[in-house]
Amino acid sequence: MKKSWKLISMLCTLTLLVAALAACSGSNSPSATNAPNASTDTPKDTAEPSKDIPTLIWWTIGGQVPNNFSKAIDAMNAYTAEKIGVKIDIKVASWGEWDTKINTIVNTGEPFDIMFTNSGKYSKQVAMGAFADITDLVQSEAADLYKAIPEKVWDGTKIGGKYYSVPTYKDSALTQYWVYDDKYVQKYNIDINNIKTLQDLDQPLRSIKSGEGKSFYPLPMTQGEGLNGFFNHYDDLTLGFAPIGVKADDGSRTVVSVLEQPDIMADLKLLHQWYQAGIINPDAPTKTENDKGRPFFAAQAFPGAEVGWQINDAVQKYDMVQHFGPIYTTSTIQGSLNAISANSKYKKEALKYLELVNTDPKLRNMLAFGELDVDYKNVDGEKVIERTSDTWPLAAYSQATFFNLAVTKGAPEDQWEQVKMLNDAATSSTVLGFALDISDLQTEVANSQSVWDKYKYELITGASDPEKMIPKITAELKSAGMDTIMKAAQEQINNYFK
Amino acid sequence: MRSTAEQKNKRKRLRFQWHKQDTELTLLALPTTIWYILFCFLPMFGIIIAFKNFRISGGFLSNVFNSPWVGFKNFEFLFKSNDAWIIIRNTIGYNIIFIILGIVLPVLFAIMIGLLHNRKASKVYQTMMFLPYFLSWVVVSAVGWAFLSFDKGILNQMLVNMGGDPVNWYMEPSYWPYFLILLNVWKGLGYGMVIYLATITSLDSTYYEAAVIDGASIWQQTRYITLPMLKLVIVMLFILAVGRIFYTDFGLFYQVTRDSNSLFNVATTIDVLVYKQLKSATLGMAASAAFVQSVLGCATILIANWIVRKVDPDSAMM
Repeated sequence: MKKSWKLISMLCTLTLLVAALAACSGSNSPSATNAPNASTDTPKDTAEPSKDIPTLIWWTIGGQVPNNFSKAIDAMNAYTAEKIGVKIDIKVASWGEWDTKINTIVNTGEPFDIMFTNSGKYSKQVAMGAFADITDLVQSEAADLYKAIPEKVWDGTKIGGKYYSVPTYKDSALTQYWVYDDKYVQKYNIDINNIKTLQDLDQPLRSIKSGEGKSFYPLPMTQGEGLNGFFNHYDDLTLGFAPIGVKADDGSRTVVSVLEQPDIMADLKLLHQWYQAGIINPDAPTKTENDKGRPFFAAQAFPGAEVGWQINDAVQKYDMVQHFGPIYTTSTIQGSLNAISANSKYKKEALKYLELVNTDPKLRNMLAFGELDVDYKNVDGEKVIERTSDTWPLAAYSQATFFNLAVTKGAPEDQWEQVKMLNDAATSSTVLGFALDISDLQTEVANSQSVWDKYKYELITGASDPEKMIPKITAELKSAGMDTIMKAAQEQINNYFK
Repeated sequence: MRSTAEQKNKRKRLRFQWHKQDTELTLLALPTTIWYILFCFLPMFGIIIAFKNFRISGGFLSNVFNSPWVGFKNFEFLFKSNDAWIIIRNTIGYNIIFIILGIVLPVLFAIMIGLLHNRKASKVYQTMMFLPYFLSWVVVSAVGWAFLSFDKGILNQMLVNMGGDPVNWYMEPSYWPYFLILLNVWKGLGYGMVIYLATITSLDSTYYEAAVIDGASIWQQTRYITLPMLKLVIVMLFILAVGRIFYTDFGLFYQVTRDSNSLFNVATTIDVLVYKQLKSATLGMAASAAFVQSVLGCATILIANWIVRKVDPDSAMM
């Protein structure tokens, strides 16, 4: 009797342990390996209802998912299933949480097939081994895709001489614009074409402020963005970290401490004055998302981009004036990339899908604009469309090239040709093609990053006084190892451009 | 002599016997055991990530096993960071306050509610105090925002109506220790009270009757009957709380402060740091911070228990 109880309890415990271990490894095995024998039983369950048509998971960035989202995706899937035998499950990380979410997904090995990524993240993720090397695959399996994107843009995505992602060929050279709500331009007689520097903006912004009253903020900002493109004059070496960079037109390619540069300092001081004068909203350092319809903002854009914003923001007319660029840097090319997971079982299918997105206007428009006849209407085949709602959440720039995308009604019809011209006219940063390898600098980068994270919101929104803050930030950055990073960066640059 | 030895032997034999009761109790403990094995013991192996340069080479398990060892390199960032001491100070500082308030206030309120004659009223109060516990910090953070938002917050509108200047609350670190403590107390009070109240209601009423006959005032009854009876529970909860002194409520310190930069010095605790590292740096660094947290937590719980045993052996847990 005694013995049998003991035996039974022993058995119980053993089964439990085995079950626990099995459960644990079981949950991991679908993602654990892409060896064919291990994956045979898992795809069966998932693929059965869709009759062997693989469904790829694509993580991308966007806004709030609307009610008709799955309907629109179903329409896309019906189209692509027939055309190339692939379906897609689009997962949207919102603008605010994308950074966090993407990092967690990559770190924890959650399965995905395609992921939108960009400079600042990309090289870290490649260093971690998250993405598949597609150098050969893209040329053999997706030749049309390879041909559709110019060599220069492909080169911008290279890490260690290999491709790990499909760049979106679009306004790949950065052009920076100032955007005004026409209402205020008319009301305050602003001569927008003669405003070239931040200092030139001072007078118009002040007159809007004094005319519109105390709780009106002519230059609204959010914590993450600040004034868009503020650090554009400096190439960040794809570090994604403003305090270290090389001035884009510096022939000697000297790595500098960006915050300490006189031009940045002067601009930051101006921002701080604006903040104190109530031109910038006081809650900018804590505000996470912009209100719709800002009276003035800065943006990276291209001709005709204002049409989309007008619809999204329900603003009658935006006036857009170019004030910087176009310029190619490694970061601008890496501004929007789609990488394929190293663990994906469907690498070829993923590439095929990306190829189709980049070459097929119909799919491209569905992805960019949503459900046909609900979110948009075709005006001239797939060439011109009219948007009828402002709820479609996906960011067109994150998906694929602009050059097979329809022009939104109201924008110049040769919009994309103009963008191409901008690309052709672009100057290049003196360190174009270089991406910093941080594998031996992880401690320093992590610490410097956390110092910068601690102060950046207040600094880039003008809330803190740069004359007091910059010495403090620089001192902390130095003790966090900024000098080591700068030294290593300089050495790497010198070697790269030897 | 012989008889005691025999008895000892018998007891020894008894101890190794398996009774029917044992089966029942084992079955009863099974779900918890399974839960512990699955969610507490198995994940422990993940701690080796702290000593590895985490690389992706397949699923999570193969990532862990195939990543190269780097010794203590991941820990460097933690101790090289300028803010290490601020973070540890915050973590321990808030926890000490939370532990003290988390014992004093619930005991006080439990005694007060236990003294109420009107059962209905006491139930109502208790439920009302318990309710905040069920709110998630995300909800609390939204409510907080409604009060403290710069342009639309109730507090600022009141200030402006009274002729004052609006305050940008999320950028004023000086107020936040009070906000955080207040919120923590508000949310945890009802929950903390339950155990004390249960103990109080289960106390033998004859003690009190005897005390009343001897002419004891309510204060004396509390002082000489209720509190000594509660001591065991208080000490137990104290040890549990001390064991978690390096852990903080992530929701409180991250969500409620809306991750505001300006509040870094008063609101960053180890958990927030781990999360932020997970966001921007490597898994190894986040794991190393969490590892340090666990080791220190284990040490504190042992020390606390040791002290309690010195002072009052009956109350110690281990």
